[in-house]
Amino acid sequence: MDDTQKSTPGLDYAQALNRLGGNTVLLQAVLASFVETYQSLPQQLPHLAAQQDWEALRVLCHTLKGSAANISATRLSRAGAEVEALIKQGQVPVPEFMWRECLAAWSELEPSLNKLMTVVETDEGKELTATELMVRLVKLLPLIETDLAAADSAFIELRTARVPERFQANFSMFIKQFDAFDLKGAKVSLNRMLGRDSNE
Amino acid sequence: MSDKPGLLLVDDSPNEIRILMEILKDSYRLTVATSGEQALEMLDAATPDLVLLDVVMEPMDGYQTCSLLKQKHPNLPVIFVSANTETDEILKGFSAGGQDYITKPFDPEILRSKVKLTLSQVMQQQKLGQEKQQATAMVMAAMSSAADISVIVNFLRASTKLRDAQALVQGICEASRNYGVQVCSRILGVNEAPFYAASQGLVQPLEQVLMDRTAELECRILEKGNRLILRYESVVMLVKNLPERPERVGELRDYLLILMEAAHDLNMRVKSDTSIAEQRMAMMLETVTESRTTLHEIEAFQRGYKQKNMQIMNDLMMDIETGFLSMGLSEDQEQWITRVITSKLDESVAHLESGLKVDEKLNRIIEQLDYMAKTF
Repeated sequence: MDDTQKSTPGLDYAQALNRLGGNTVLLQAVLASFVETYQSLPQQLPHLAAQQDWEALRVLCHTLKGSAANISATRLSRAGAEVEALIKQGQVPVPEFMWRECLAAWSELEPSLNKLMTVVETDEGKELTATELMVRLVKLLPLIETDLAAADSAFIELRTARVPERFQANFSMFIKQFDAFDLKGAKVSLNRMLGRDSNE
Repeated sequence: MSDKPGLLLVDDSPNEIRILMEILKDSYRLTVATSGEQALEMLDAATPDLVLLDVVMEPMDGYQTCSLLKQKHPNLPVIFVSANTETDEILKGFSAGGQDYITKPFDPEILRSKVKLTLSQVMQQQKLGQEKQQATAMVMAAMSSAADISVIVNFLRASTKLRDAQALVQGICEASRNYGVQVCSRILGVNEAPFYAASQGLVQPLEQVLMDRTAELECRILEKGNRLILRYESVVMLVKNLPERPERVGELRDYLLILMEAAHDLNMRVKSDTSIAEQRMAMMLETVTESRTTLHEIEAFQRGYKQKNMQIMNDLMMDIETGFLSMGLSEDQEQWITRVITSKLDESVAHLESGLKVDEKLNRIIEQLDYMAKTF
């Protein structure tokens, strides 16, 4: 663990890494996905509160509670849990200071996540040649059926790579699909990059 | 496919799925679904041994998913995975059919041990279920065996009253009917005379021919389709509607052969008894005939004896009366002598007559023996 990882306010990096058995590549991917999922949180929370859509706010805070807990973002998780509990108890409207605590926790966490993402991009944004890409995709394709965990590991290593221009569109689609575990769609995109019909 | 137990991870958050996968990938074969609907669609193809199911999902939540899943796969264990830690949420999970509940954030050790424990409990339950099935089958078999054996016992009990081959063959058919089969049977009685009977209706001519020809068979058991021919010494049986289950056919074959063995032994005893009775009857008839001849001889002898005696007495009277002429006896003396002799002659005749009455009695005894022998 380097100094950047040691100093991550709002996130217990060591604990999160321990949960993933020390798999830094996977943790980086999980964190990247977390950022992507909740980057609109500062807009969503005030909007739902203003709309008094308490059920939607409860669901959002519930998800936030679990997801943040799993990356050891304890403050954000706790803030989400408190808002969710209040709505479940029927104590609406939710006091503004409570959902604002979620935003505060996010504000504390986001720079840490961005800092970690920068490290990731610097370290792993490797450029692949067409041949290298083909080799990786050919290896990955059968793993989707036979060993999904291994396929996902191969995918995580691949997702930050830069690929030749002509593969870019299909590769981006493939990353998006596999990221969301749309495996059927991911196989179609993958086969397309390999120049095969999807049925092959 | 891997030998590892299979887990289906269901969560609408790919991040959560990835964390679960990382923790569980070494010990399990993993498949994933990102919604309840997708999970239900995948179940048949994925054949998981356990499902890890997120609770808060849209549009179908984990509880609904679990309820639907349990309708089709009641024995598939489900562990709920949720950030909800409230008791009422956990109770909801159990009432939906979940086996366990894991709260986020996951502690890798707790997650692994809960999955392992649930799988081992399920295996234990399956094992117990199999053992229960086996035990039930054994009890049922024992009960069935008891019923089967009681058919034989009842036949043996009733057989003490069966006095001839016809009754015996009828008895064995009736006993066999208790096994739910239609049979006909043949027993060779005294002097190898065949006796036939059927459990239902009459013995058909073709069945008779078949049973008569079993002597030509080298084996004692011949099975053709749902028909079975069994031969045991003097007893032959034709089963016309064997059951489909091979195990039951085997059991029936054994039980029917035991019945046939018992019937054969009884038949041998009946034959032996009949033979002894016939020998005794022959001896009795011979004795009666000899007695009759002897009595006729005695009667003839007695009649001849009487006639000879009468002749001797008559000759004596003639000789005495001729002697009176030269003896010079007075008339009184002659009358006295004549009276004495006549009196003794009468006694002698009476004595002979009583001998003839004994003959009559002996003749009546012979006639009675004759009648008894003829009507035995």
